[in-house]
Amino acid sequence: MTSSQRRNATREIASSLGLVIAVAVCGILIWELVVWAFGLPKALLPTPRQVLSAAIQERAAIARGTMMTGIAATVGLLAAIAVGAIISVAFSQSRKIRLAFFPYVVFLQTVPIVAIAPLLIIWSGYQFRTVVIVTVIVCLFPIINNMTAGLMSVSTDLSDLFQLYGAGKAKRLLRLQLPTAIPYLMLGARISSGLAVIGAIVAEFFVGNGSSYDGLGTLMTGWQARIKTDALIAALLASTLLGLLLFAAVGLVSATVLRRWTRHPS
Amino acid sequence: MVAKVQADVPAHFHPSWIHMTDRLICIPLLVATAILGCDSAKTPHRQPADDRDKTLSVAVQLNWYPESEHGGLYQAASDGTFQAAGLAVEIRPGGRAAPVGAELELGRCQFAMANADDVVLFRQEGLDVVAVLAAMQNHPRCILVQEASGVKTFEDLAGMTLQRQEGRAFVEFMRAKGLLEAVQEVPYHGSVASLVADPKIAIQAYSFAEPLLAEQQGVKVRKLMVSDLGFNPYSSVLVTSGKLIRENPSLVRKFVRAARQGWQNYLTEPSLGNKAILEANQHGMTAEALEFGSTELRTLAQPEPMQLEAVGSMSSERWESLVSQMVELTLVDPEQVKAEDCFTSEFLD
Repeated sequence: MTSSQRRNATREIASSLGLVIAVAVCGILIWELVVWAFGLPKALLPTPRQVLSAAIQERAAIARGTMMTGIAATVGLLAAIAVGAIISVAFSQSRKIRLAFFPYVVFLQTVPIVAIAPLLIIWSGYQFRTVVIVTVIVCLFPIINNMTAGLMSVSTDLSDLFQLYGAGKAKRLLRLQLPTAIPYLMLGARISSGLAVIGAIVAEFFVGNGSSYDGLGTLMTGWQARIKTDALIAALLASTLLGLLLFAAVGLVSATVLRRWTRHPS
Repeated sequence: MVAKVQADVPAHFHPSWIHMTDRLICIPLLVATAILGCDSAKTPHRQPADDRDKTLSVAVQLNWYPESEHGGLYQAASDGTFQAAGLAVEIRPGGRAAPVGAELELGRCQFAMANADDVVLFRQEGLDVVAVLAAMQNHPRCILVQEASGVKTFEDLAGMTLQRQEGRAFVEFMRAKGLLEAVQEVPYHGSVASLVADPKIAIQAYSFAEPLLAEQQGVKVRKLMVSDLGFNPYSSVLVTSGKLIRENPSLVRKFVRAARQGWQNYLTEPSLGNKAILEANQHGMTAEALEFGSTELRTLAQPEPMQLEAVGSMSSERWESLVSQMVELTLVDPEQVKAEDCFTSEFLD
């Protein structure tokens, strides 16, 4: 990259950041205006300033909750990536396995997590592990789906080349299929990064523990019961930020550690 | 939330611009629907206020699935009491997160059911909710345990897992008493299933509902009444908005009088009310549970030596002691909530 290219890139980032901030400012103004125009009480829709002051007042609880939920979402996402990658490799090795098991993977995607969360609690108990399990279930499908597609979409030229040199199944997988699949895996992980936070919070609605496990989901339930809409929205924003953070982290890993394979995203 | 989970994933599965534009078109449509939705929601509120000769239509929002605790309303709706008063009443079942305060504030309903402590919380958050009748003088709130758990007092709860709704005032009260220090607190799922399955689990309950449901599943249970601890807000409280009281006191009077009659009828002979509740509750309610409930709640609604005519009445001492307890628990600010604003007995003559 030349220095002028770099300068252009910096300018690009600055201008897009400017746009993002402009949208945020407009959004906040409209929000404030709506509350003012309809004379809405704080319990129905607080103003952005009331949310900010609630966030400051409850900063300790929100910070702790964000950390707890963040840990659960991260562990869940990493576990889903590991499990998903292994399942995808199995899928890529045999058409029969794919045909037999793929419908059950779709089941993971369609099962209403809110309905099975109470069951998972009966099986796994009121603890961190249950939150992680829910998160993994929610995150798994995009990863398996994308990674399998990646493993299967090896270019025919390269495939022929491997055949020509008499490469075995293992070598093919390691040297050809996996490198091709990495960008796909990372795309799947990116989708799942947002889902991970949702999964963790939904699980906390059911598992949440007032004394020893204070995730954002637990905080939200309590504030909803107490009609503290301002604090509730502050927690909501924190969970959104957490999702963005995970999303950015996945992007960062793709762009740095895995750069060799993800440079030319398909 | 589930909808979001399902909507996001396929979008990447077929990453095409067509889907993207579809979504963009959706946004103005959603906004338009939201605006129209708000508008139509406001209309029913104005109609009953102007119409004086014909039947007045009134909507009541419940705070939970229809149960015995709402018996008086279902009784009045089914035995003709509302009709005789010239009222066409729609009773809207609630659930785990029934937005009682918001529905009243937006005028989507004219009355609602709540607990007295909810009224105090609503007022703390700036919602003008006012209690006009309290059907239960004593609160049915209890902690339910299996007899096999060996728990006999609140102190014995140490080491148990308690399913409760986070944020409820009685939970804060128990916590302030130091009764929850060694208790694992987890969310309440609205059923007795976990209690039945595990003697180490205690659940929040109403004394006239869940004990029977649990015993029907074959376990012996014991109830610890929270009112014995000294926290006893009115329950099955009929509430309305301060705005409706100012703008249409005659409607409020009519409705409160009919509802009170409904409660008196329900306490005397509950079969019609119970039949209506059974029809309205799609949540696993049984005729036995309602029969048990409507009998058990009599002592809560009409404790000795209260006369049947006095059912529903409220006193300022009770409201004052509730507000001061909630101030002590730092749930409300004494500057923001005054006991005298929380209720009015003017319609209970």
